[in-house]
Amino acid sequence: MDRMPGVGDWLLLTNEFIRWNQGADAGAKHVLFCYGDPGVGKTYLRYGWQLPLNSMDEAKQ
Amino acid sequence: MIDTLCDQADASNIAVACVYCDFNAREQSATALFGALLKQVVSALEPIPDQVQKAFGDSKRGVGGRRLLLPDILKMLSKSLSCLRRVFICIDALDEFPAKHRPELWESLQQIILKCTNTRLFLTGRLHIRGEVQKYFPGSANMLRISSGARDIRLYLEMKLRREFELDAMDKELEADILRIIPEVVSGTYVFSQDDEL
Repeated sequence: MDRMPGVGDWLLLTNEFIRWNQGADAGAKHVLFCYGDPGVGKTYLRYGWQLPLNSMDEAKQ
Repeated sequence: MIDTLCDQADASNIAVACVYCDFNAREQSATALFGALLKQVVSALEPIPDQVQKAFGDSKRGVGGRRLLLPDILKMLSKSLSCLRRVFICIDALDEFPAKHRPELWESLQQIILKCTNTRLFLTGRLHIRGEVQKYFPGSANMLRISSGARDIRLYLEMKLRREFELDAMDKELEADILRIIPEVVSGTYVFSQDDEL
């Protein structure tokens, strides 16, 4: 996938993303819906996921 | 990239399963979509737990060689999800999933997050899908509007300019103009359309 590093990383810093990714299971908002016009890069966002998964593990250890 | 994620995920009992919807796909049904997710989640389980193997065996006997039915797939998916610490399910381009099958898809997803609280759904789609997400997940969905931000456009343009232009066709002034004007124009359009829609 031809994805430019750093593009879309702003998403990972939003409160919506952080709560969704790191929130406790009970009472969490389990769904994160990203919407937008065709071509704005919705599909490319999920390719930036290495960061949140790593940081979540570090936080738990 | 997804492979890299899954490699990391395996070690920490986290799984990532991704599917995307496509107008041009031959078969688009809730059964096919959840079947693909089930396959990915089961492959993250090592070893495959007895209860999942048993559920698979039961379904195989029960349907006598026919393809698995949606309720069986959902049952096995719930069991598989419960074996992991956290699972991220990504479904991309929901607007490309046939409207007539979408209620079945939403109801199945509702079941999954109700039964498996360790599961997180990452969904994308165009604006008109937002109402459906709100309807089926009242109070449990966060909504984020995605746009091409000026910073992202600038990063991309810098890379393109570095890699792809003939040196003698480019000068500093033209480069500066490109980097200034294009992000302004594109992100300006976005601000206008956001105000317009909200």
